[in-house]
Amino acid sequence: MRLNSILTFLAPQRGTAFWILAAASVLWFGYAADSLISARRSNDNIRLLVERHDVPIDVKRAHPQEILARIDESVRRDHIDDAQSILSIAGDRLPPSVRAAALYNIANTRTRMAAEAVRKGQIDSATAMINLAKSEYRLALKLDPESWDARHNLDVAMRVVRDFPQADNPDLSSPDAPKKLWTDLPGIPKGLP
Amino acid sequence: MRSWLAIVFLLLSVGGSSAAIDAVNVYEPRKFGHFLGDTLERRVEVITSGNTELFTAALPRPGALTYWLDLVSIDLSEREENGRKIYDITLKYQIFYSALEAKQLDIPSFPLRFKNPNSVAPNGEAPSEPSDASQGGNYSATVPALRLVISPLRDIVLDDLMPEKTGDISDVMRPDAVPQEINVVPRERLLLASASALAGAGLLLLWHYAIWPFARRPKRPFTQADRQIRSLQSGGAGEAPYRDSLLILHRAFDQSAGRRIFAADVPEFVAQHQRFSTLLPRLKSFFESSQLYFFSDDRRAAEDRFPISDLARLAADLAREERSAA
Repeated sequence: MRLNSILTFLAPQRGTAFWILAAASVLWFGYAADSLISARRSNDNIRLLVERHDVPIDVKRAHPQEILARIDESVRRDHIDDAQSILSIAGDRLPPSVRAAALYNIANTRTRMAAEAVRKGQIDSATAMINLAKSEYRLALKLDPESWDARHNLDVAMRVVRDFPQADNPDLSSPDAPKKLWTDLPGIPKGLP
Repeated sequence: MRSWLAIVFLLLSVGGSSAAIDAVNVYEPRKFGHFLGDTLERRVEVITSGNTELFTAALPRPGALTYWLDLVSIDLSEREENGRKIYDITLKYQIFYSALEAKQLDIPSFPLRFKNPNSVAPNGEAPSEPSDASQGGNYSATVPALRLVISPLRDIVLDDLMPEKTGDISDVMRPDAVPQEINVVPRERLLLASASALAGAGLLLLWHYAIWPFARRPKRPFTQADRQIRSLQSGGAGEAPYRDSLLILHRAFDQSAGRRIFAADVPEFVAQHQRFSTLLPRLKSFFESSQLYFFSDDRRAAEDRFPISDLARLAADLAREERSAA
C-alpha cells in the first residue's frame, strides 16, 4: 500500500530517473572498462620491461609499478640519468613505497659501480658515487623505514670506501673518536712536544 | 615496551612573578636494540603556569642533526589544564649509524626557551625576545641527551671489498626491488558489476517505453496504439488510414477499460482514469467524430472535424500519460 503510493508519487519522474540511472551506469561502465584496459596495458609493459625490452612509457599517466619497471630497465642499461629524470618527473605522484624502491634500485646500481671503481683503483670517483648512493638509501629509508633491504645495502655501501664523516670538523665527542680507555695520568706534560 | 622517564626540572621564577615552568617530562623510547634505519619517538611534555610561553621558534627543526641522526619530524600541540599550559612535543628521529659492534651514541640535548610577557627586561627589550642574559637563565630548560645502544645489522667481513677480493659485491648486497604486476581481478569485478548495472538500467528503460522484450507488456494499450498509428501514417499505403487509425484507438480504449467504450461512456472512463482528465475535451471530440464517421455517411465531415494528425497527436498524448502513470 505504502509502496504503491510512493510509486504513484514517483511515477511522473520515472522516465527521467531511468535516463539518469542509465547515464550513470554508462559512465561507470566506461570508467571500469578504461581502468581494466589500462591496467592490462601496464601489465604488458611491466612484463616486457622486466624481460629487458626497452619499451617507452608515458611517465605522466603510467601506473607506479610501470614507472618502477621503466626505471629499473634504464638503470640496467646504465642510463642512471634517465632513471633519475623519470623519477623526478613522476615525483610526488608515486606512493612512498614505490619511490623508495626506485631510489633503492638506483642506489644499488651506484654501489655496484663504486665497488667496480674501487677494484680498478679509482677511489675518487668511487667516493663520489658512494656518497650519492648513501644519500639515496637514506631518502629511501625515510620514505619507507621498514625496508630492511635498503638498511642492509646502506650498511654495505658505507663500507665500500672509507668514510670520514667529520673530516673538516674533528669532534672528539663523536662516536668515531677513540675510546678513552686510560685515565689522564697526572704529571704528564701537556703542550708542545 | 616503552620505558618512560620523567625528569622534573623545578625552576625558579623571576622575582615574585607567578609565571613558571613547572615541569619538563621526557618520555623516552627503549635505549637499546636499535639498528640502522630505525625510527624512534620521544615525547616531551612541558608544563608551564602563569604567562610563561614556550618559545616555539627555538625548537629544533627537522633535518640532519648529526651525520648519523636525522630529525624526521617534530610535532607540537598545546592544551590547557587547571590554568596550566601543557605543551606536547613529539620528536621523531631516524638513525643512520652503521655499527660494527654495539655502540653507545648520544642524541644531543637541546634547550627549551620560554618567554614571559609580564617580565619585560629592564632595558626595555621586547618580551618576545628571550634572553638568557637579562633573565638569568630562569626561562630555559633542557631536554637531556639520550644515550642509545646501536647494534650492528650484519656480520661484517673486513676483507669484503679489498681490491684483490674474489667475491663480487652483488653477493653481499640484497637484490633489487622487482616491480609487481597490477592485480586486475578487482578491476574485472568492477567491470562486471558496472556491466550488470548498465544492463539493468537498459532493461528498465526498455520496460518504461515498452520496447521489444516488453512490447507485449499488458496495460499499455495506448502505447501500442500510438506505435501502430504512427507506422500506419508513415506507411501511408493503407486502404483507409483514417478508418484504421480510428479503429486502433477504439480497441485501445476498449482494452484499457476492459469493455467497449462508446461516446456516452467517456466521462465515466475519465473519472476512472484521472490521468486522462486533461485530455477530456479532445477525447469527446474524438468519439463524436468517430460516431459521425461510422454511423453516418458524412465521412468527409468527420475527417475535417478531427483530422488524422490530431488523432495521431491524441494517441501520442494518451500513450505518454499512460507511461507516466502506470
